[in-house]
Amino acid sequence: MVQTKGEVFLMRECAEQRTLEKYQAKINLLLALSRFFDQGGEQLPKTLEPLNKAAAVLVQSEGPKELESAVKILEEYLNSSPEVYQALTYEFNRLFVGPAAPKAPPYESVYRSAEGLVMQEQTLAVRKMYLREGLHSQEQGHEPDDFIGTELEFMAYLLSRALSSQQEQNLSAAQYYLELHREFCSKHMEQWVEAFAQAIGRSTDYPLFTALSKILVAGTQSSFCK
Amino acid sequence: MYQTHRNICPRNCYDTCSILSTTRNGILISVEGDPLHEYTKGKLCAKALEDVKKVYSQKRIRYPMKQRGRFSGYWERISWDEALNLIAGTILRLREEYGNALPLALNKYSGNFGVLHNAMEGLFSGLGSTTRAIGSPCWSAGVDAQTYDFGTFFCSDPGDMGKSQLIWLWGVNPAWTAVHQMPLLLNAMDRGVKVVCFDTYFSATAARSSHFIQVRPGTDGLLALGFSKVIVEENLLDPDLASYSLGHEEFIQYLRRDIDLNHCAEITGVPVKTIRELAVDYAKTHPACIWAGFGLQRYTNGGQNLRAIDALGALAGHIGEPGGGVQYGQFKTWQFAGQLQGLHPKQTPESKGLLKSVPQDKENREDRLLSINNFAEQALQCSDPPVKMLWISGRNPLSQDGNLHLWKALIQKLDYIVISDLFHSMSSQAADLFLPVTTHYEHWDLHASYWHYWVGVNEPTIAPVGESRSDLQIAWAVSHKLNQLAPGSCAFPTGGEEKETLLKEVGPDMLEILGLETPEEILNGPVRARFPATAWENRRFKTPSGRFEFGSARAEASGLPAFPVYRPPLSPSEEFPLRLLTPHHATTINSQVYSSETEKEDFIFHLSPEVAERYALQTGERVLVWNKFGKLEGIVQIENRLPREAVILYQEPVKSNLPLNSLMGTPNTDMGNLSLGAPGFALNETFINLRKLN
Repeated sequence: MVQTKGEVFLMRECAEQRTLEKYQAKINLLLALSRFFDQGGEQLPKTLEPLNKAAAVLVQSEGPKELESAVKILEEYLNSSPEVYQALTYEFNRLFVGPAAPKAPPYESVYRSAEGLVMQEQTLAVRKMYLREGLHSQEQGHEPDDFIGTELEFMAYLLSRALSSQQEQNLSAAQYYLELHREFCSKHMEQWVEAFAQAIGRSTDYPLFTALSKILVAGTQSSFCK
Repeated sequence: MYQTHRNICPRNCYDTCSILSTTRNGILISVEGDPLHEYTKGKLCAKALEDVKKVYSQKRIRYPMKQRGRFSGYWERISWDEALNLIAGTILRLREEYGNALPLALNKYSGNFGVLHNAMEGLFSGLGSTTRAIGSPCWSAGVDAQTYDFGTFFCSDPGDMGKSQLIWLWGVNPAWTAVHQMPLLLNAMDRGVKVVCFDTYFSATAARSSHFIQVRPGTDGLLALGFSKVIVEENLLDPDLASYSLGHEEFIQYLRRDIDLNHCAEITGVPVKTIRELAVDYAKTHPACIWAGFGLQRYTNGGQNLRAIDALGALAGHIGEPGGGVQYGQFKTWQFAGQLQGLHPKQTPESKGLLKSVPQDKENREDRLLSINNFAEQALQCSDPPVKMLWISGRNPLSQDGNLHLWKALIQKLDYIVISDLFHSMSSQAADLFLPVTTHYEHWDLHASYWHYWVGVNEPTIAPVGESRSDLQIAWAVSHKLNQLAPGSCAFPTGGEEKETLLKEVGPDMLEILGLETPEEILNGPVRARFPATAWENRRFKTPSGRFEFGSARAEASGLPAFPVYRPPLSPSEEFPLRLLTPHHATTINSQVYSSETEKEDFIFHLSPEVAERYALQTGERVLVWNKFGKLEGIVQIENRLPREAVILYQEPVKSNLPLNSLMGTPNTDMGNLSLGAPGFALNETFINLRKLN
């Protein structure tokens, strides 16, 4: 039996416990990022700490060094006063929610469709990929399927399936999920996350959100798995 | 996969189009005009064609939000439950504090004319006697004028115009604001029918007409009286006039005695020779139709202007003539049951459904009624009890009303402001609470037109975007919360089905005019009311005398002239020598914007060469325009055939923090009380000065 690249890669890389931990760290970061966006600005006191923790673990386990300063910024915000958290909430809504036109709408199709709208072909394409895995967005029809929080959660899902398959010695399943993850990254997340991060960066004066945009970009690169 | 649904455009527009929308996997992908609809004929205007973009705009509000500090921009996303608690808590607190519900005010108009949106009125009726905005910013003077003359407000089927041998478009710009009438007009011209466009400026419709007659702003009534004078002099009166009209002799005497064609020509800007020719043509051509627009009645003499035009139509024998008449609009197809809005059974309004069209029966209801056009001013004067909570729905008063400084003063005095809307607006910047509403692609509704005779159902096409809810769902939820917190505190229903509610609005009156056996039949598609195509075809009128009333005792009893006599509009002053006209633009309906691509960088002030010369201005130069209400900066554009004494500023979307209404006061029209409970907004009586900037 000929081994595909993915299998070779996974077998070699995952031979060490350290690599498995690194995968888990990446999954944790994706989930923490997903919750950060999904729970909204009002829940920052609850979502910031897990995000910081996940990012810190990743940096320690051979994550990109340039993230160190971003993680530090997150950490500095952890013990903010209620007033600062309140200000961050308003900023979160100004950037991502409204009611004034959000500065960085957190939806893929806004960055990729000709008219900059939600619910476009990208949304349906993402929906299709979820469906391949028997998944659908809980808010399907109300919230665009290509909401950043949902896409992040899907990436985490694919990686965790890869990881558990690996642990169960189901190498072909592990390879399948890694391939799917890579496909999703290249067809979707990587197609817009930079533009989204730039929109955040140029619209905010809060170091927290600039740092967040850096962590988001670094944490969603498929190359990061290697 | 692909599904098609029926929708109806709910905007404040003549056409009230029947739309077919297509979804793919639950996502709205396209909209088109219903090809089988007699008026829509498969076509939509550029605005409706932007609907998909509007529904899926990244700017659309998806969640309830509360603001810390009005105008602060500090918004927090909250759950519906929290929003409802805030609203219900405020309502209960204020009602407890003042012992009644009058501190609670509703200001709602035409953001969506769907009948189920009257749930907001219903909710407020369920709270007790409250404070309401009544009247209309749009067409009040004209509605009253036609009510004095004909007895009720009715027009022919727009297709009836196809029989006309002569069509006068008087102050109406269908090329921009009623595009479905254009094929009929263009076909008529192809058949050799003369289409004459009267307007204050060379509009898009004027450009497509056989003739353009430029009328000085606010003098349309005098021009109509001039035409009538010629008809009298030339002995071209309808010989049957005596059989169906009241007071024609006295009116003719007035024309003989008081109307001088030279004076008429001088004031209106239309030469005597032209007045004579047009008048003779109009009197001799049968059938001949006049379509009078809304702009000509947005003056302090607006009602008189339209009464004079009605009288002209009658003198020449065109009223009740197939293909003739003086067409303005109608209420007659709005015979909804009125259950939802909580109309008292004793009320017998002209229409039950067209928002703000119905003055309330003061004997049965003790609501505090404030004119929608002077709302802030009158609300500030309310002291026993004061207005404390304001709900703005389907409106954007900070962008559309006059006297903005009074609005700002009112905002400072209010305890709580709730706004429900699709998008953030000038007004929602002042809100404490923002509630996201659904578009017509996300809820059930029922619609009539104020122009054509069709009534139809709007089906939901897609799931509500985000957490948005329809006005009906919001009203139910508020009532539910109120009753949860204080049982019995709101009489409005606490829940239900939109579709069932809709069917209940198709009551016996509506079934009869539509010729239906059961309400459910309307779900099959739009239905045309079974009225004859020609209004007043038997020349039996709804006036007290049963005749067309040149002389109206009702008008006289209201302190108005009994006859359509000339009353001049306001004059400019030395300080503010130019009139400002703000016509509708093809890309917007009031503050509702349809395409962000059309957003202008600057206000564009359109000037005639004469005005430009007087102020030594060139196209492209920057000017400051001001009056005692405010100021705006913008760019000059010089064009031929604009008025010599006015500046035109279209209601176009502009990237500015100031609305063009910064320049508006609130002069009232002469009429509006009779049918709508309040006079209209004479917004064409706005005067300004301007100067070049650098």
